[in-house]
Amino acid sequence: MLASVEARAETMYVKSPTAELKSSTSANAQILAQFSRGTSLNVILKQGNWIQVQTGGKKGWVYKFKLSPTKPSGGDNLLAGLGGGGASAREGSSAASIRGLSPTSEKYAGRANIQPQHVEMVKHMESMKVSQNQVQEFLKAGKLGEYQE
Amino acid sequence: MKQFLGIVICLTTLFSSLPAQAQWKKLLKQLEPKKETQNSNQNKGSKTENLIFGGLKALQGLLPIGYKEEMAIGGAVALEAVARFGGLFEDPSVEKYIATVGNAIALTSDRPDIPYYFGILNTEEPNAFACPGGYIFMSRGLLKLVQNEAQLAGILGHEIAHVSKKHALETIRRSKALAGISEVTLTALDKDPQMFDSVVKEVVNMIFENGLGRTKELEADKIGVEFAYRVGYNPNALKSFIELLKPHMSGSRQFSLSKTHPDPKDRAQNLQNVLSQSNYKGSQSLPLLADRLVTSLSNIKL
Repeated sequence: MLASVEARAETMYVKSPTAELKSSTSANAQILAQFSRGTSLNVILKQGNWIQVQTGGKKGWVYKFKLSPTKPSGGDNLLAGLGGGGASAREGSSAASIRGLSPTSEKYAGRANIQPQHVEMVKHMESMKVSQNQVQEFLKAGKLGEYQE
Repeated sequence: MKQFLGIVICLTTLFSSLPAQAQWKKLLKQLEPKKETQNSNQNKGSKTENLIFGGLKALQGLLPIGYKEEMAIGGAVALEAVARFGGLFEDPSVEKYIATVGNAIALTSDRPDIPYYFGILNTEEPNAFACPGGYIFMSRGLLKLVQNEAQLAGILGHEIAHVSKKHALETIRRSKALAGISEVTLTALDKDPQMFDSVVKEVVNMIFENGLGRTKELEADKIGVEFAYRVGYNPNALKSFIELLKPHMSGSRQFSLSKTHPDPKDRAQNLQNVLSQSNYKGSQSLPLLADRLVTSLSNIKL
């Protein structure tokens, strides 16, 4: 009997870089905590686009699409180690640290006669940063998703 | 021949256990006649290794490509995009606006753990595409046609879907240009610029000329709608934008968008089916945010 109860207890993981634990599902809810990617949460209830979770004695609501039923592992290559990929960068913790035009791409620019101004333009695209907070403020201003009234 | 068949069978049997490649290489070295090992080309791998890994590649169908390698290829394709389509249209406020919508979508997408980069190509021709690694482009001509933020979200959702499903990468993994190698590493790509250039050429032709194919495009539409909906946008907007594209894709003007994407009628019908699914019930009332788009683009002449 105990085993079946345990089997039903569902764990979900934060898949977005961050996810906020909110006091309610309303747009003006208080933020109780902020979780980072990979944090595991015990599911209590699912309601529309919200999931009520509990972790470390805290209970609240997280926007459903920031969670995943599987642990984000950076498991980019299932076959890593066999067909290769062992030495390659995995997604996840390492992906965030790899930013910008690869030296391999820059060498290509030289061979393919891509003008320096065009190389600068791609670098310009890469230089544009939008923070998590800016995204949240933007969503709030548009009353979108988790800020829907 | 018998020995080779034996090795292949042995590999097939052990395939499911996924041992480390180093062990395979050791095993292969032991199997190889000494003379052949001495004459083998270190960079390309021995004949037996190529045979085995060629066979192995055929068995597993796909050559794994890591994020670093995806970025190297995608970066080169992004350079080609900028060089071929009039450079970038640079306006900090508009670029920031598009990157913010794009990032909002990326964060709740199925691949939220990589950075995405957004650029406006300075061309009248309406087009949008995604390069491996997360370089997303839309043209000034396409942006001109967008009526509201939800449509913009649908378009960016479609492009992020291509990256998240690794559509272009899947084709590279089967690429003939990579037939000779067992592992796509940056070292391997750097050592053989000719091979790297062939791979880039293949992706460039696919994205700019021939397209990814109907199945992948319709899939990107379906997922694009889902991604925009996750952020909270009205999911019907992508369909309305594609319907808007119809007059721009017919007639004598041969835009690459019509060469690389299915007919708008086909796409709209597919989206109609997608939107009739129960999870989009009641979504008609979700925001389009036409005003915010208009305000955000008001200071520039597209």
